[in-house]
Amino acid sequence: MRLRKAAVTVPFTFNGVRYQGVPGETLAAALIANGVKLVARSFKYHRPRGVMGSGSEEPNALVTIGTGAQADPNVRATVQEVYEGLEAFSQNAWPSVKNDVMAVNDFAAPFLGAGFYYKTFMWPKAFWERVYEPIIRRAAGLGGLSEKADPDIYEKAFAFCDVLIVGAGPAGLMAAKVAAASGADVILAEEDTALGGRLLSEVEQIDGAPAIAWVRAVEAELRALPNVRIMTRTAVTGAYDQGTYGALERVGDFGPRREGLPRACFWRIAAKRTVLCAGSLERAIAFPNNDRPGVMMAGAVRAYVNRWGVAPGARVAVFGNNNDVQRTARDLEAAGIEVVAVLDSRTGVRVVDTAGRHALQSITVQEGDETRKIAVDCLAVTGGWNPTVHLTCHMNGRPVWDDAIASFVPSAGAVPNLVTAGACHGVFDTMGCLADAEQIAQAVIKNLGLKAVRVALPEADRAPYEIAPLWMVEGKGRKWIDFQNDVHVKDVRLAAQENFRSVEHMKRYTTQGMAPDQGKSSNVVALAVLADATGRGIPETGTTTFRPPFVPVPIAAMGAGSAGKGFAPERFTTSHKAAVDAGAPMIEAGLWYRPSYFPQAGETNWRQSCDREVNMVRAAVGIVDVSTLGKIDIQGPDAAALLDFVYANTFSTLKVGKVRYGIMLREDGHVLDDGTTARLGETHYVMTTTTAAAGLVMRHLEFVLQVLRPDLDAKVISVTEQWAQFGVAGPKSRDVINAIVDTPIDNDSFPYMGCGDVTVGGIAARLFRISFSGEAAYEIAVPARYGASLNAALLEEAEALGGGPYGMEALNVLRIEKGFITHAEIHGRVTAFDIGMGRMVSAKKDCVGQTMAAREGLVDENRAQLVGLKPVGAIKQLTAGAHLFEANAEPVRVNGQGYVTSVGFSPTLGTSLALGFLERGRARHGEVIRMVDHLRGLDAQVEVCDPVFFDPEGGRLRG
Amino acid sequence: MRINCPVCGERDLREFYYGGAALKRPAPDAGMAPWDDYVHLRENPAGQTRDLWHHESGCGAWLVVTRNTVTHAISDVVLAKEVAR
Amino acid sequence: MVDLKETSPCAGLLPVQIGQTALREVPQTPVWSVAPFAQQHKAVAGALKTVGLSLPEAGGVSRNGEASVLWFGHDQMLVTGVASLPPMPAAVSDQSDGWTCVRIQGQAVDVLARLAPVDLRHETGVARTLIGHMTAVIIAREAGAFDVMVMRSMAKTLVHDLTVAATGVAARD
Repeated sequence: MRLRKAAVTVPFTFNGVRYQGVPGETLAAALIANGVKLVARSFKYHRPRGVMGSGSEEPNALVTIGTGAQADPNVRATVQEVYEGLEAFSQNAWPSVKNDVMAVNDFAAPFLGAGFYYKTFMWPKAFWERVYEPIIRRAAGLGGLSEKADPDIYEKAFAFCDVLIVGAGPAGLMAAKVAAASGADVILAEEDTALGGRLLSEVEQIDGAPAIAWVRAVEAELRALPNVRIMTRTAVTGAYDQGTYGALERVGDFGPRREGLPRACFWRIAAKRTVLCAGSLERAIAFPNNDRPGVMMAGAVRAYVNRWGVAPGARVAVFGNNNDVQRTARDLEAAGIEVVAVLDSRTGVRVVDTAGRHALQSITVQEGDETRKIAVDCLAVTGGWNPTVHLTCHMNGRPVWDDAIASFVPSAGAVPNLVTAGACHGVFDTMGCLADAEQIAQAVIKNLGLKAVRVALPEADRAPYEIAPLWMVEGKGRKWIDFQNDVHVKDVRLAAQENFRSVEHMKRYTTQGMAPDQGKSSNVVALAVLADATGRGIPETGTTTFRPPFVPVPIAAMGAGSAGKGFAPERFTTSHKAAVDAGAPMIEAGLWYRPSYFPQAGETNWRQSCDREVNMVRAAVGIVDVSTLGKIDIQGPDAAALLDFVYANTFSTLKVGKVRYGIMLREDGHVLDDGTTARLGETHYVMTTTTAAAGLVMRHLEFVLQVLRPDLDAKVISVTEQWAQFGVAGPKSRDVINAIVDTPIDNDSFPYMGCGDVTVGGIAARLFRISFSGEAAYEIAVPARYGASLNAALLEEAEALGGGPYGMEALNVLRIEKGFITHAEIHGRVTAFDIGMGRMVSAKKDCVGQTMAAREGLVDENRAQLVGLKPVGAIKQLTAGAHLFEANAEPVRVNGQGYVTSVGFSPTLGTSLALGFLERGRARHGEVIRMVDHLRGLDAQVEVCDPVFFDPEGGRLRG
Repeated sequence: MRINCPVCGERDLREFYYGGAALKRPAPDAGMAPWDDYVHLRENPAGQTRDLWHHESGCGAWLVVTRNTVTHAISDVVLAKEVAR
Repeated sequence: MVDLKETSPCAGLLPVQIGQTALREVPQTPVWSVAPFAQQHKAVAGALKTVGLSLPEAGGVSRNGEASVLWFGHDQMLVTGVASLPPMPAAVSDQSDGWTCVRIQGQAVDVLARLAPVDLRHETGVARTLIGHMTAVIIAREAGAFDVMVMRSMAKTLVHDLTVAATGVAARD
């Protein structure tokens, strides 16, 4: 029932029934306004449950919002705002929330106590996964996932401030006033839709006017300041190292989906100082059958009446252990709601039972020896307030017990540079909150080195908080503690009885404090019951660890920006468009996209294209974009010394205008990367790395220069992206080059492994005579802006000579024919010795990895060494990843002697070829062994041979 | 986690690459034991530790960071170049 | 003779307007990376002076008309808008084609706050940081605009990321 007439209402549905709600009010308020009491079924016993609270701590009223892929489970109805067309559904109930078949669980309750899973489903063991778990999963639980890709947009963002104020109740507003007036850069984050905190829900005066007027005035003042950012609907979810806070802003949740609007934004806020003004959470009292729809927290009842103008009931009783009992009765009466009983436990009165299946119908009250039944449709309960200490526990802080308020308060310094103020600091009256926050904010500002400005304190409510703890009431029936996890007093006692006496063990035994609400409403009551059961005090019992996030955060929000194309950058070469236009399928090489092969008319599979491209390079000329290889410019008086230190072989002896192949080791003696380095000048080199290791090598060079050898005067910088570089390979490569460069070259001016400057159409370019195919080959580089144009020119010339482009498949076959290695071979566990380059590791100089590469085990003749492999039996197919065995050995692990790393079909030699590693391989050329691929079911006879299958003398290179 | 880069100021963890323990490289002829220590053996202290971090997505400086593995407090950040000198 | 034609990194991708935010490609100018050799900062400053430029502070920019020197990292700077540099005791590399540069104008601070883990509200110089997963250079320009540089090959991803962020910001209006 609504207490005030709403100016505007909009339709929404709950379980398919259409209702009217006020835009912006919570779904819980709208359901209460429409007289809907039964909202949910409980987690385990499928007990009927209704709205209990009024904020994010709500344990009962979890609903699913939306349908299909956009369905969002476990949304608290107390947080979800109503908008036109909102669709909400009950969870964990079938066929309906009213007639829930699984409610049968409730009758089996005596067998379903805490720990029953562990005791009941022990055997047969095989039944767990196949029988028990699926049944349990279906019977218990919260909302389900749609199992469809989430079509919504999520965002993440970064924010920075001097002072982060968490919570905009009276304390937060006062702290913000002080910090803002002092010129600090302030973020005021509030979980609710509006500022004010409890003042929105209480009938209080500030400076003689309704408190809300003061809230509005402060908000207006803060909004006018350039140094204050107010973030509403933003829950600070976690405290992390060095003043980093996570915060979830609900952006698109409070209205119909809008094109481009994110649902939520996950903020990472870096704050120099933080004032936690998170307020407090009301706790329940565990009395028998205290979970019926209509039993609500007293503070929530006041929120519905005072803030939302809806009546949770027509005949209300109030039960509690503190002076909020009187406050609640007063507010209800002022709103014209009948208060049928005011039950202050401090006078000895107790609620000992309740009745009503789908909604509360009566309570049983005991006073002295007398019990009586009172017909009510709502019971407001207050067991006192717990400071919201959660954030202060995120970095191992342990809250401390405060007898005066019978609750835990944050321990000082629990999070560096975070202080608490107001109710979460254990100060519960409004005047106290304001004064506390003012004083604490002053200290924070001074601590920041700013001049703190004094702010006048208004006059506010000073009613003291008086409480005589009452945790539970004995009696027949279950006394619920954790409503979200269906944990009651007996479960906690059972835990203690079975020796799960530590609070952390009790939590895991009973599941108390788990799930979305993380025990917000139940923790302290559970501790009190455990303390009682174990004969200890509450302080000794302690609390469990409150972990982030404070409210549930969608994984999609944390990973925002990293889905789909946001997962990793895409890197495109300047010839990308031409390759795609030519129909080449593109493959990923690291972040780069490179063409696999260039299909021609009539070719029906990749092997035909690949074979043709290999033949084309061997017979005429092929063009390949090699811009993806890392290029690092190295300059300085000690450039040569740097290269000698990072390469296993020597580069100081390289002549200007020459290129040399080199291998780099890791400090543990294994190969890091390989490539060629050209000496462009006396103190100027350009290094080439593999595509995969470009970033790694760059970081390694900086490491060497800054950490290992700061004495070396050399500078390194990546020029990978500056140059578009193309390989031109084949017997006709020089013809292509000479058609492109302004001044023709010959074998003398550019011999094998020569390099130098050329011009192309007047543009300065670089030419390298290097080969990864075994053919006479060049690489030509121009500034990247000319890359697409040069690619087109090279292709035109090549095609005129019977050549054309070739892709990664052909490149791979060409290099396997020549026994050239890639990271398939130098995969991180091989040494220079293994790949037959042991002699390249110069003993004349120190280099990274030199010492450790000389270890006995790394130069042992028995190690697996690089070999070539050719099929000689009936099976002609070779596969990478296959294992190698002696010809007659059983193909089992203990007999393994090596493995295959690369394979390809060589059209040049008319056979499959492979590279691999074989124990003592170099001494076994000519031996026939067995290659077994257990995964693909291949078993082939192969001959061990030299890894260089084609043109071993290298005559073609120099031609 | 935020690291106060001596060049750029305080920056988010994601800009940095973790480079392992900050150790002094032994001389090439120091023998196997010191090399084994340098390459393979690591302390795992509950308390103060010194690591190398590379401000890879920032200024490019390699840093020596002194931090506490228990409290996560960072007490000192210096350029590795200066430590090595 | 071969006639090589230029293609800009963002060819076909820009300009775009999303709500109040405009993205456009900044035309390529000569860009040189300059890293002074040991103890040669003074000499490099002297050489730069001959073309009217000076060494910037860490995170800073020094400008002279169309030419500028951008701090580019630890012991490194970028000289832009100068066709050729006088000889100097420094590692000098041509970087004119290595980067793509996008000017973002409008709700630039809000858009970049969704991609870069740095506070740009009061930035007046240069920040080396990340844009999404890409290493980037962010340069403050006049009137709340920024130039965002990433490696040339990532131009498409840069435009994608900026567009997505700008769309989210615009949808809030």
